[in-house]
Amino acid sequence: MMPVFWLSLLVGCTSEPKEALGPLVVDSDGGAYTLTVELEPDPPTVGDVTLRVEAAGLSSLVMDGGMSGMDHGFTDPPAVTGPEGDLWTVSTFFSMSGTWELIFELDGDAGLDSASMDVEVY
Amino acid sequence: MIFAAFFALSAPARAAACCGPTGGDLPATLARCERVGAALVLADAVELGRWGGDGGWVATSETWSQGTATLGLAGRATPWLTLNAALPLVVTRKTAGSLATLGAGPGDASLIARFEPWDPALKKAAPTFVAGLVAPLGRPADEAVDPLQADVTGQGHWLGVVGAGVERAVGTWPWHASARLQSGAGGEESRLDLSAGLSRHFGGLWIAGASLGTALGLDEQTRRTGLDAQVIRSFPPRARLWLSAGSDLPVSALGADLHGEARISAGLLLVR
Repeated sequence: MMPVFWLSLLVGCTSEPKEALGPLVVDSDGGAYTLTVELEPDPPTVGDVTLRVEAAGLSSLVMDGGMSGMDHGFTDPPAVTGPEGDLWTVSTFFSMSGTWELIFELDGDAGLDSASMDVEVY
Repeated sequence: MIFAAFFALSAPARAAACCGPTGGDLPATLARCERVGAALVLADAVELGRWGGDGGWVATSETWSQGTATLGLAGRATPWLTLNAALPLVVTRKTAGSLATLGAGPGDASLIARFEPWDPALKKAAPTFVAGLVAPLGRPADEAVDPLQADVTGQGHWLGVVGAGVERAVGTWPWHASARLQSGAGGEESRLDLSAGLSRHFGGLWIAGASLGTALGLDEQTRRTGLDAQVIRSFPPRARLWLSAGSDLPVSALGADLHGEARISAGLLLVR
């Protein structure tokens, strides 16, 4: 097991620090809406993650997605509450680390539109 | 030349934090004089971290480890053609925060044909070709019920495998190089494995070797690079035992958008 032990030490010395993503700004595909997304925890980790999505003019927001590289989605559909003013809260569960694609289906003053973004879950 | 039977196109049964072993045919096969064989391989892998999409190596908030017991059978149909079948049983342990889960089940089975048109004992550069299928007997990610997907044991797709390799001995130092491609019918899980290595023959009963390999995911532009070492002890005429240890190299830029693991395995092959 020596190689495993040695490499575990090496990981501790060489891992890059994980930087917070901060507010992420995403324009919808048709340009109808602009979303500002904050994640908690930031950067997101495996387990429960809350997204706060701020967007003017929305009456409906649904989030879905998954790990396209591994051909699976969320274990349970993300739960959306809101709006409180322009703020929506999305509660979801990331089942593993890696790159997740988040897809937002939007409806509101400017009609139907959609937006997508990738996040790295650690 | 037993070394030829071991190192050629022996793609390590790499696991992944979401799925079971892939391309996991046996790391050992029959020598020219052997007709049938049965093998048991015990392996364990632990996640070290992952490469991000930008190639940077980072630790993860989850822990993942996977034990595998693989039963293998091999039969020589002709002097130049052997058939190898392998079926793994997978046990996966995952934790994230306060959540700890365990999943188990059969993994994807493989049936691989090996073509060795020239006898490696002739001490010339001996090419080997493989072709086969991986059957999706394991539970794929989209059928997982475990919240951390610890019950995922397979890829969920039929995969085709083709490959070619060459081995050559320089004194008691055989070297080998190989390329192996797997893909689903629609391009799922398409991956190219490249490997090159060197081994040393000791007194006819011991072989030790190491190989460097890289796996390139063709659809998602993922990659991982690892180093594996193996020691083989023969007990002629009926058995050989091997111990293998390896690790993906946790260095930025040697991988992209994939998890990295360390692995160890031990196996026993009985032949007739």
